[in-house]
Amino acid sequence: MNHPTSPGIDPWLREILRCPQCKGELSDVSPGGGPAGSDGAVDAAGAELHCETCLLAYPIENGVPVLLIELAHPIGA
Amino acid sequence: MAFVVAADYDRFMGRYSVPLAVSFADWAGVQPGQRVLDVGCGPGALTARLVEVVGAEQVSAVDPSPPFVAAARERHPGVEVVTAGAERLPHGDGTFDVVLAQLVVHFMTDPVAGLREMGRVTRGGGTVAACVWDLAGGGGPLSLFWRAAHDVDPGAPDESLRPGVREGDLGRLCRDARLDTIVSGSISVTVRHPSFEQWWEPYTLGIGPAGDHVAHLDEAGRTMLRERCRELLPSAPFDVSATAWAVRATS
Repeated sequence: MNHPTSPGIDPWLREILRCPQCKGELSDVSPGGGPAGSDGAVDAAGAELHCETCLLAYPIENGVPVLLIELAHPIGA
Repeated sequence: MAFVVAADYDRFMGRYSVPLAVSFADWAGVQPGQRVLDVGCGPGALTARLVEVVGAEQVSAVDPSPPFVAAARERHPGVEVVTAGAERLPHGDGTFDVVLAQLVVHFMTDPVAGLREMGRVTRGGGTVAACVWDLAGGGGPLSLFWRAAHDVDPGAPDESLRPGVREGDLGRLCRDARLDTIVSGSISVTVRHPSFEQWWEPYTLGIGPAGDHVAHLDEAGRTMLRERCRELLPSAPFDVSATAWAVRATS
C-alpha cells in the first residue's frame, strides 16, 4: 500500500469519483462545454462533471463536486 | 432539520463526537497505509481522527449537506470532500480499505442501502464500520435533555425509534445489507462540563432535533425545560457519559 507522496492532492482522490447513479467514470467539462484543459481546471465557474452514460451533469460549486442525482441536470439542458 | 452551521454543531455535538471519533477509528481498525472513506462526515469530527492516523491524502469524505462539506474541506486541506449521500456513493467498487459512518445511520433515509453502498466501495475483505448513539437505551449524550423535555411535555419528540439506536440494530442492518463477519460492540465517552450554562447553551443553537425542540418553545417553556435539566443534573462541574452502539463487518 505504498503510494508516492506528491505535493497537493493525490491524483487517486480525483480519479476515484464516479457517477452516483451508474458508478461509471466522470469527465471534467469546462464552462464552454468542452473537455477541461490538461491542468484539470475543474474549479472554473460553471465547470461540471459529466456522466456520458446517464447523460447527467453534476455541478462543481466553489470547487466542490456535487454528486447528488437530485441536483444534477440533463446534459445539454 | 436545522443542520446548518458547522461551528454551532461542533459546540453542540462536537464535544461528544470528537472523543467518540478517536475510539471509533481505533475500534474499526484504521491503520496507517489504508485508504479510508468517511461517510456523512459532517463538519469533520471523524475526518480529523482519520487524517491523524492515515494522513490527509489517504482520506476521502462525503456529506449531503453543502455547509458541512465546506467546513470539512476548510478544516482538512488535502482531504477530498464531496457533496454526496450514503445511499448512492460516488465511488467505484472496492476503492477503500475501510469505510466508516459515525452517527449517520440513524439519519439515513434507507440504512440498508447505505450500508450496502459502503460495502460496495470497500475492497474485498476490507472493513465497513458504523456507530450510532444508544438513543433507545437512554445512553446518548442528550438523554438527560430528552428526559427533562418529556417531564415538562410528554408530547416532546422521541429519538428512540430511529434505525440503529437499539442494541443489535446495527448488526441486523449489516446482515440485511449482506455484509460478512459482523462484530457488534459499544463505545463510551465521558465529557466533563465545567458549568450548567456551558452544558445548556448549545441546546439553544437550533441544532438537530433537540435544538429544533428548544427553538419551538416559547420563553416560559424554554425556562421550564432549562430548570428541569438543572434539577436533574449534578452540581457543576459534572461528567456526562455517553454510549454508542458500534458495528464492524467485512465487505
